[in-house]
Amino acid sequence: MLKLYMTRVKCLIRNKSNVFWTFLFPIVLATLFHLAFSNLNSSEVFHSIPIGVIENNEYENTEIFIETMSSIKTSENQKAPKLFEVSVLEKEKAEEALKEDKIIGYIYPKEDMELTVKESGIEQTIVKSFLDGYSRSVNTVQSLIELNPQNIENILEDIQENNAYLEDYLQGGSSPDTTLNFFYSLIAMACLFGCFWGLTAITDIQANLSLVGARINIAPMKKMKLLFCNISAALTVHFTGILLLMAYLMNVLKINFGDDLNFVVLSSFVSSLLGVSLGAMVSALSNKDLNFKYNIMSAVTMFSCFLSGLMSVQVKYIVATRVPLLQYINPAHIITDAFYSLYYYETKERFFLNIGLMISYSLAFSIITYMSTRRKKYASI
Amino acid sequence: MQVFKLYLKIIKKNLPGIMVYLGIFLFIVVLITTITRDTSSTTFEQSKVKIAYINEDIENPLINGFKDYLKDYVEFVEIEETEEGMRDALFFRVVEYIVIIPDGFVEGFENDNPMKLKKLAVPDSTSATYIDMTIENYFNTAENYIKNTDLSPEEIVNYVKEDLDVSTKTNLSVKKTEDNGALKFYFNYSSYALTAVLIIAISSMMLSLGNIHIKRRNRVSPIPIGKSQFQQVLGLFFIVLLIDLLLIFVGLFFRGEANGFVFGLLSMNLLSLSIAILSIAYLVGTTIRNREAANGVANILSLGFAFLSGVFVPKELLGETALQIGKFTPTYWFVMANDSIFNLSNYSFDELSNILISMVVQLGFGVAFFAITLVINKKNRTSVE
Repeated sequence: MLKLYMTRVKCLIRNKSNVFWTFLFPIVLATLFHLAFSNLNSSEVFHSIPIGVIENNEYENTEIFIETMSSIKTSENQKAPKLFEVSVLEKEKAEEALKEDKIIGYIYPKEDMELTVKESGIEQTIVKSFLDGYSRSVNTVQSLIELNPQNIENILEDIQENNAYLEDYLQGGSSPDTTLNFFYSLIAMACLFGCFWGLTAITDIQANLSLVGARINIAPMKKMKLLFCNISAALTVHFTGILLLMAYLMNVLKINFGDDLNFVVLSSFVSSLLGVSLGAMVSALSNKDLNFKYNIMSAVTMFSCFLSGLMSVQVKYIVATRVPLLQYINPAHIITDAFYSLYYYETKERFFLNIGLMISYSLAFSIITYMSTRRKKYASI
Repeated sequence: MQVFKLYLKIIKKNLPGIMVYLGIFLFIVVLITTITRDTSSTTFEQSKVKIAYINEDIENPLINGFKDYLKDYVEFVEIEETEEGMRDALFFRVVEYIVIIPDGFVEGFENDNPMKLKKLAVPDSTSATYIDMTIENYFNTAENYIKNTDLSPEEIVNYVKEDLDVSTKTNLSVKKTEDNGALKFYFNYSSYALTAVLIIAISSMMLSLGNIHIKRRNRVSPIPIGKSQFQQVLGLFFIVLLIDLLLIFVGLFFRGEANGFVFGLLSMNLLSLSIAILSIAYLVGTTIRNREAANGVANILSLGFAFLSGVFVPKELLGETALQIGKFTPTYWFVMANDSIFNLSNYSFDELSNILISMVVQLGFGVAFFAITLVINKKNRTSVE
């Protein structure tokens, strides 16, 4: 039996171009992802907003206004970045700078401020809300003085004093880094592509699917044994590829998987098993030609990965909230979620739920495969 | 036209598989198009940050006024109010900010002994800075009134509301013509489906003639190799047209307000891209010997192209290196042309020539890859294996 297994492993790795491509392709894709996303999270991080202010000598408070604007920081911390990067410009210059995206907009300071921007966006909104706030403080001071005219000094003092009313909640833990889900989903895809190994493993022992299978069936060997050897050989090769991918992701691309390496390896193994057994089942159940099965499996896998957020992260959440049942059925979702919960949650319940699901699916797939391959007899092939 | 006819036969045999494959990818494209929506418009719109608002304190004029005030700045999203639910919502950016009013906040606030609001946000993000500012603004203003007047909470809220009800006049310097929302996304995304389907379909069809014995048999026939290659490509072009027509047809459903000219340009652009992809697929089909490899290449190219040229992630968010590499893919130029088509404002020669150049670059890719394939074919002709 060991010999059967070894022969099968040899048989699989002799097909060099096959091994090369299946091992290499997730690694290449991961590298491309890494390139594409290296900027993604940093673009969310706050940078000082470049804004122009037009010189207006008619408005007496221009100088104070500019000074106030340039002195604001994002938090009370001394090292915090400035909210705005103000440049004082003439009108024509400001228009030009706006056109070339050097500033996101310009302000025409007067009694009721005027802002000109190129497009709507969060930075533009911040500028607007700053201007709103500026006019509001003026309003507040006016109505306070009206209500309580004796108290001008206190009022002016209070208005300058800004209290912080917010504090972070649930600090610690891992930061919500969206790009990670792309990588987790990519791993899910790589694991599920193990279905191709499973596909050939069955094709090669079924007499009605391949010539090799027909020859093997003549040998006095139990189907159970053959099946077991072929599947474990496929799993061995596939899992090696996945481990390579994981090593590359962890050590070269520095993707964060949480702290527990053992659990990462465990979930990679179970996910690989899920992929291989899925392919085996499809191969055993359908008599269509290999090409057809191949293309269908490939497309179905991609679809399953799409639902788990391979192309857009929000898709995974939408699935989880709108069609909750699907998240327990979709294999890519389960795999992605296993890695996600390992990284993001303090507790391990959700992780073990996912692992449990994967194991039960793999078992079910294997049993179906076994039932439909054993004791087949052919009158003519 | 023997070779061409042969290819038509092969297409006919492979068609069911290809159609199922295309169907699934088309489904992905349609789904993702409906999920994503364009936000650009012709008047300045204040960005509304999606936040979750959780009140653990009592209902109170101050708090109700606060929620009312926030309405202008945020879009409230309901989320699951467990720790896991909050973390999930933040990770997938369903909300970008969660603010929790703790029990006893109002009492502390009114007695000048304020507790702090709890917030959960993406650290250091721009939208978090914005919401911080908005929230602090409200409570600071309210505090000023509490300290300096003897008004009742209801009156204070009214004053605060009145004070804060100021809106700075905001102009947009560039007016966009029309809003085509979904159509742009549809065409961009369809480049992904096109690449994946074409490479798989073409390489698997070419593999069916890839057997060395069949190849040798074909080579000894009196048809010159150039002619046979030409007919081969013509046959493959047939399937390309079929897929293109289908993609364009589905595109009609997302047409919205786009006029016929714009839609025509988009379709032309899609055709240019598919010619480039055809010749890449032809190269893949000639160099690759088995399905596993074809599948790997198809996935690398389709996903890789899509991510590097700003299909799934907007170009503005991509890293510098990614964009530089992206320029060497036809998809990059496809997306570029699409962007220019949607930004057409006066149909000037400048604008149109930009679009045309991007299309020509895509065709250039087609010619280049085709040339490489011819060279490889010539070399392979005499090889033993």
